[in-house]
Amino acid sequence: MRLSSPEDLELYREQLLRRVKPQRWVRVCAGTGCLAGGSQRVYEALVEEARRIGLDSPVKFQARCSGCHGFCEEGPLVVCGMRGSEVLYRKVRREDALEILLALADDRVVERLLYRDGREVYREERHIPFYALQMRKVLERCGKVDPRDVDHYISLGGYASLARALSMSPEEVIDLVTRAGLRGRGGGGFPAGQKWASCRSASGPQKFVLANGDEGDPGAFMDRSLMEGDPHSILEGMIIGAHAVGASKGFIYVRDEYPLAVENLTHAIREARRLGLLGRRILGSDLSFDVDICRGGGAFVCGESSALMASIEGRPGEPRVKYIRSTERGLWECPTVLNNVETWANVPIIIREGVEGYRSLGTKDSPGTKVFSLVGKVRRSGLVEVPMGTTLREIIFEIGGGVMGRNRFKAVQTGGPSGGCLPESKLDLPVDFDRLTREGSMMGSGGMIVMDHRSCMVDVARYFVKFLEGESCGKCAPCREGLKAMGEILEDLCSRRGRPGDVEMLLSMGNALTDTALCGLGQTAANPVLSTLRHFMEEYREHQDQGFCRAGVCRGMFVARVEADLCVSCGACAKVCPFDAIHRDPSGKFAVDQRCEGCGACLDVCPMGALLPSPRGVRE
Amino acid sequence: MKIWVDGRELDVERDVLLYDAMVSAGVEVPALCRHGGLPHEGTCRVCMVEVDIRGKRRLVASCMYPARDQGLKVYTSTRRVEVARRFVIGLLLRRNPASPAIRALADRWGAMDTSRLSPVEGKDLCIRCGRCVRACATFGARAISFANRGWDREVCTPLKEPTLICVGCLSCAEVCPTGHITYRESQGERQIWGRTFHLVRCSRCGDPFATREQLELVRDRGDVCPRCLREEEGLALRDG
Amino acid sequence: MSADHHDDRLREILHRYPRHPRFLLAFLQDVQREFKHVPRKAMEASSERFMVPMSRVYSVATFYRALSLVPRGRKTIKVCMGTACHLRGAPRVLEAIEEALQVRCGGTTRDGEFSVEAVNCLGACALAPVVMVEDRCYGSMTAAKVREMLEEERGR
Repeated sequence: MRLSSPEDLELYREQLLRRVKPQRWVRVCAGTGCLAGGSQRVYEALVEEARRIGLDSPVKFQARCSGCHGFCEEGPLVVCGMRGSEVLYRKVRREDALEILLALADDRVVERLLYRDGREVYREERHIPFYALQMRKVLERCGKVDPRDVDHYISLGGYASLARALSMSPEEVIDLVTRAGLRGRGGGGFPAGQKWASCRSASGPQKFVLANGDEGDPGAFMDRSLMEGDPHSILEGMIIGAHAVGASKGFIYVRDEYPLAVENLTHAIREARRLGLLGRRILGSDLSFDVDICRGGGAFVCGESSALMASIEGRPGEPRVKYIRSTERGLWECPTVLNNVETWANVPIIIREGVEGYRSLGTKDSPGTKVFSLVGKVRRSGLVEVPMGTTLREIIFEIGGGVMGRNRFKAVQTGGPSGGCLPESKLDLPVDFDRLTREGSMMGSGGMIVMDHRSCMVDVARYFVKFLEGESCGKCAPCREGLKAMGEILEDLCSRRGRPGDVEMLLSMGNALTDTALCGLGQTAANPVLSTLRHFMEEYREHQDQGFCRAGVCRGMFVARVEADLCVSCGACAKVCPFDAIHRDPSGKFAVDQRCEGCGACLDVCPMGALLPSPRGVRE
Repeated sequence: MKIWVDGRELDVERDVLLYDAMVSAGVEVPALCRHGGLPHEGTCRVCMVEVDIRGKRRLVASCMYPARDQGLKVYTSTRRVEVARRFVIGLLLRRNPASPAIRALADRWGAMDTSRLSPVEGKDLCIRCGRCVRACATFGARAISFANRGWDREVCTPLKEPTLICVGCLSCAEVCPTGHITYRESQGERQIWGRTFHLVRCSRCGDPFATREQLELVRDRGDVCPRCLREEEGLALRDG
Repeated sequence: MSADHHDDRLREILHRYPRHPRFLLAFLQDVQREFKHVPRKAMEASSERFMVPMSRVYSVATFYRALSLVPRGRKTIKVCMGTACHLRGAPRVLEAIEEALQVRCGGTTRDGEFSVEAVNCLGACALAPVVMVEDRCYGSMTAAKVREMLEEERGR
């Protein structure tokens, strides 16, 4: 059943909207996180029980799956709907299915499954503080739409932007995207309109549009949720892009580690083809365009644009020197536009809202919203979409609820391995493409990892350098050899083998690496080191000169010490000590003796936070 | 168009590669992976210089950087460039302390002191410049390539075994800047990459000069360069 | 698997793909899934079918972590080493798995059942620490939960 014109599409949409809606429905999150918690079994149980108790006609009841809500820690999530209202249940188990359905049939709720925050109880997802303070534009449909059903996407307004864009000339579309100020959401922040215009004006036998779904930054899962939860939004953006630049073929490059994203995108492409939204003469226009999925092979470097293209070509994912841009000579030497999947998902929004509507959110130089992956030592973790310009403090403390447990905020790591760590004094910085960069970090693709005083900043730098060392393609000497060298020094610093001059060497190598590396991976690889050197120099000095790790992370670089005033003599510390170094002293409180080897096990179990890392040789 | 190199005005063709322009003007710039007869890859980073375009300054690999901006200012010996060069040469020297070519670069341009780092195991002279792989792709039979990635990256034949694909043309050994690729020749036989080739004798003077496989390759290979071969792969998509 | 059956399966996988170099990686990944490694024959066959030199096939086979030349276990246990997982104790979960299976990270158990790998961020950071076995995801892992996970996996 092909839609051969924009009118066809609208008629189809109206038909879908006229379909009788079920009186009651449940929506089970089938994102990777909730699936890991058993949501598939929950879904099956709901379907089974519904049939058993007679809720089995489509008029009475419907059970659907949705994509990721971006609140995975509370999963499996189930939304129930009845008479125009909704309720969100969290940590749902298969055993809860019957109770949920009986309550639904009676217009009641299951209180114990409701989300709680402190003393407040919340029925609806949109009232939960985590969501209430967000502005979900790109993620609007994630968690609502059934990602395996194009009809659902269309009934929620999908592909209307495509129809609108096809009625405009390619130049008009590029102009619109340019004036809206869309900047790449993958980390580079390059103006999308400018990229598209370069590609349009370049010459070549064919042109390509590519979507970067190779989200490799550890701690980031924005793109995963988007690809799993609302695949058609990405397709729609790409088709509009193809119209704008004159591309005939597109590829979505998806990380190998995201099998569900690959599945849902593949399914979406099949459905789009069936409806004629991909293929020849789309909606009756001159545009003929089709998309294929390329699955990554387990290489972080393939998130770099030229490496990604090499990988699509069936080669090792090695970046190339990019003095000549890909928009001029890219995939198979043809003019190519590569944008991140989140960037593509912004495109239908821009077409729909126009320049002013789009620019009403965000800042002048960074308009629109950005999706962040807020994880780590934060009370409420998950995906956060806010207008650009929102401060770190607002995101971490108001939306995220601040640092979990009794611990203190120490740093926030943004931008993944290309980014850096910022301390408490920088929390009021607005998050956008430019502000964080000035402080030595960057917004990057949106990863935001919260760290508390039990995180060692030298260990964090070491972690990122070792990660990049393993991911380096090895083509250029600065990255291949330089990261190995920096990694060695950092490992030494974290194992009491630091030497005078190490900090200076890290600094000078880091700067030289930034200057000489061939590609973006190497050029930004030093950021985690340089930013922690800049904002947490004392910790480096302590590691180098005193062999002391104040966070109590680096093994053997501290001893545990009991703060007697806080000790309540529970003995939890003594129980976990692998060296039998903690015993009750004459006062009845516990104390650590010289057998302590600095492993850190006791630091986390003390309910009072009475155990603190101390330099070796400093006894009570 | 006009560009400035170390304060000197040069008149150049648009899109000229900076390295070529500088060397023609008598400016001395170190280089290692660059080879005039091969496609450039810019992997060694030894040839980097500092450019200033409308106030924005950064380092670029001169062997691949095309001059496109009128008034481009190039600096070959700022402190930033010197530190960068010493960094790169120092790292290469650490990996291959026995290579005369790297030693020479270090003596001429300086090298970062890496004595604080642990010595590298093995006597590998390869600096992963890629000249051999490019030469094999351009003149040879595409018998060798890079395997693995990162620190473990190495040049080898498929599965690291002697391969029948190799034609024994010696292009790789000829362009290797550190002497890592070796071969032996004696009595009409040549040994390289674990294989022995029989040398064809010149029909006029009788001297052995090339392998038969090598001569057949030259006769049979098309006249399309590696970059265009890649472009042709893409065209197949358009033609469905 | 007998040699003939092996060849049949290989041929069947090969013919899923058109004769274009761009399918090389996808083909090798299918081979990896089927045979738990990339055998020599698969490399030779792909060189022929996808019209690329053997050197390129070898480069691709050794560049991507998803592929291995050495056989992996029937099930691969992937311990996420993403930042969030690292901060929440992933190294201790890995140690527990190594201990329980008596195998080092990167290795395979004697019976060929499990391979253990440390992998990059799996994108389930809110559930850190995360372990994936084939396509199944286990969240909020602790050293204590490792035995249970392994038992569940043995049963599959």
